[in-house]
Amino acid sequence: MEQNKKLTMIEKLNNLLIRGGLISPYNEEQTGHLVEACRHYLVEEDFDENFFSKIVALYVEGGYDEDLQKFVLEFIVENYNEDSNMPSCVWQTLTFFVIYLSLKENDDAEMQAIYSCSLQNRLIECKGRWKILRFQKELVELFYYMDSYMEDKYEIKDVCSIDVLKQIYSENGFQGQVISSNTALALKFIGQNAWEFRMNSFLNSSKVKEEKNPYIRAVTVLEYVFINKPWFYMPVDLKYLLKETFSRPINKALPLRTILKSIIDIGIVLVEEVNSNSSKILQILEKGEIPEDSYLDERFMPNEFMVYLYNELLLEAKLKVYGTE
Amino acid sequence: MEQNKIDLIQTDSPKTQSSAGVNAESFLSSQKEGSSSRFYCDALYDYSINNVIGSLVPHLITLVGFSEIGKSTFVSSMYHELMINGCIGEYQFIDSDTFAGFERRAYVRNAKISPERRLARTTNQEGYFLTMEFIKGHEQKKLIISDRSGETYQKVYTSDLNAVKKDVALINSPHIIFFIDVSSLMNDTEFLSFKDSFGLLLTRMQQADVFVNRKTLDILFNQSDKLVTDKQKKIFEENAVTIKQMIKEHGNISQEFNIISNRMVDNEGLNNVFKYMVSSCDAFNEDVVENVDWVSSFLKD
Repeated sequence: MEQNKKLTMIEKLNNLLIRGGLISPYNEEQTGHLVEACRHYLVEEDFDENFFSKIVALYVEGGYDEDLQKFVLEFIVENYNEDSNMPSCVWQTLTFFVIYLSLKENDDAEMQAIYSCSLQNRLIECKGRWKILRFQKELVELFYYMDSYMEDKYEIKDVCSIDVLKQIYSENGFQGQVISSNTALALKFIGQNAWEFRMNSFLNSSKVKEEKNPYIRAVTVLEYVFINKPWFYMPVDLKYLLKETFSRPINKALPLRTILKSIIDIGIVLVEEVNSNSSKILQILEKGEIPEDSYLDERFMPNEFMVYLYNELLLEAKLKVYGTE
Repeated sequence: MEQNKIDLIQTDSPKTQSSAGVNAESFLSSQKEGSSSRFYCDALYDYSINNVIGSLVPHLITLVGFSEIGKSTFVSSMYHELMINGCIGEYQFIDSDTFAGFERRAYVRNAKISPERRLARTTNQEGYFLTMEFIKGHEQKKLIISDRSGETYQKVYTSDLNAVKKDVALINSPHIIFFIDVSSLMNDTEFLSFKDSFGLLLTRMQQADVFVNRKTLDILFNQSDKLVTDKQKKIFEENAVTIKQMIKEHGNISQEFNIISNRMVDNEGLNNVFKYMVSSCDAFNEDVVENVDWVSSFLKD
C-alpha cells in the first residue's frame, strides 16, 4: 500500500515536471528522490500556515521557493550522494508539488482545511488572469477541504425530542441535573435554531436593508456573523446569506481598490489581528492603506467580494481556535 | 544562450581546439554522444537540454522521419528565415541557446546558396535539440525542436524497441511532425519498402508508449515539387491516404502540409509551417480549468 502511494506520487511529480517544462524527464529513481526530499521538507521545516502561504505566494507569482531548493539539493547529496543541477522550471514545479503534498498527504484534517482555505484565499490575486496559474487540474483538487472538515465536525440532526422541549419549559428545567450527551446535542440543535433566528432578524434589520452600498452591506452582514456566531463549527449557509444580503439583482462591479477604500473610510474592524498572509482583503483593511498591486484594479461584483471576504474571515476564525477543539 | 555557454566552460573533459575552415563531414563524424560539443551554443542532447530551460514553459516539437528527407534542411530554412527577417509572423526572434546547432545544419546543407550541395546530413552522434525564443507583444515564448538524425529513426528505432523506450523526450513530446519524402510515395516499388519501414517505426513507437500521452500529430510531405506527371500525383495521393491511415491508428492528424523545404523564395507553404510551429507555443499552454475561479463556480452552482 505504502509502495503504491509512493509510486503514484512519483508518477504525479513526473507528469508535473514534464508539464512544467522539463524536456527530458528524470528516471523513476531520480523523481523518487525528489518526492522524498519534498516530503522531508514538509516534516523537517516548521511547516505551518505561514510557511504554506509563503509557498503559495511564490507559486502564484510564478517563482520558486529558494529554501526548498536549498533543502532538496542538500537532501539529495546527503541521502543519495548525487550532485544535482536542475533548471528553474523544476524548482517552480516542486514549489507547487510541495503545496500538493502538504494537502494530499496530510493526515491532519484541521491543517488540511486551513491550507486549503488559505490557498483559495490567495487566488484573489489571480482574478481576471487565471491563465498564469500552472497545474490547474491538480490545483482544483486542493479546494474545499474546509467545507468537508466543517461538515464532518458538525452534522446537524434534529435530535431534540418533545420531551426535552417540555423539560426546558417545566418548572425546574434542568436545574440540578447532569445533562446527558443526547440532551446536550438537543440543546445544540435548539441553539442553532436560535442563532438562525437571530441572524434572520439581523438580515431583515434596517442596518442591513437600508444600507445603499452593497459592499458595505456585505461587510456589515459578515461582521455580525463572525462576531456573534456562537461556535466556529456552527454552519452558515453562505448562499442564503448572499440571497438575503443582495435581494435585488446588482450588475455593477467595482474595482477592489475602490471597494476597499469605501470600507476603510467607514472604519469597520472585522478582526482583531490578521494571522494569514493569504487574507489579502483583511490585511489591507487592517493597515488602512491600499497598495499598488494590480489585482486591486480587478472589478468585483458585491456577491463575489462577499464570498472572498467570508472565506478570509472563516480562515482567520479557524486560526484563532486552531488546536483547541 | 548563457546557460549553454556555461555548460561548455564548466565541462571537465578537455576540449580540442577547432581549426578554422573545418571540414564539416570530418567534424560531424568526430562528434560522440555524451561528449562535450566543440561549439558554444551547439545543438543539445537529452542530458543537456534541461539545462537551458529557464522559467518559460517551452513547447517541444519532435520532427520524426527517415534519412535524407529534409528535416534538417527544413530547420535550416527556418533559421535562415529568422536571420533574414528577424521574425516569423508576429513572433520576433530574440534568442537561441543553439545558434551553432543551427549554423552547423545551415552550413552542411547550404540551404540558401546551393540546395543541390547536400553532401552531409545530421548524424546520429550529433545533438538534436534546437531552441528558439520569441516575443509576441509582452509574452515570451520558447520553442524547442527535436531534430534527431533520420538514421536514428530508420536504422535504430525500427529495429531496437529499447532505444525508443529510452527516448523519453519523444515519449513525452506533446507534438510530433512526421516528415515524409514525396518521392517515397510516388513510386509503388519504393512505397512498399517505405511503408514497411514506416509501419515498423510506428509499431515501435506504440510499443514504447509514445502515443499514450496526449499528442498533436501532424504530417508533412516534403519535396512536393517532385510530383510532376499526373501519374506520379495519382500514385502519391493513393499512397498518402495509406500513410495517413497508418498514423490515424495512433491518433488524429491535426495538420497536413505539402512543402519544399529547401526553396526559400516564394514559398508560402513553407512559411505557413513555420508560422504554425511558432504559434503552437500559444496553443499548447495548459487550459484554464473552469473551477479554478472557485468563487465564480460557487456563485454559479
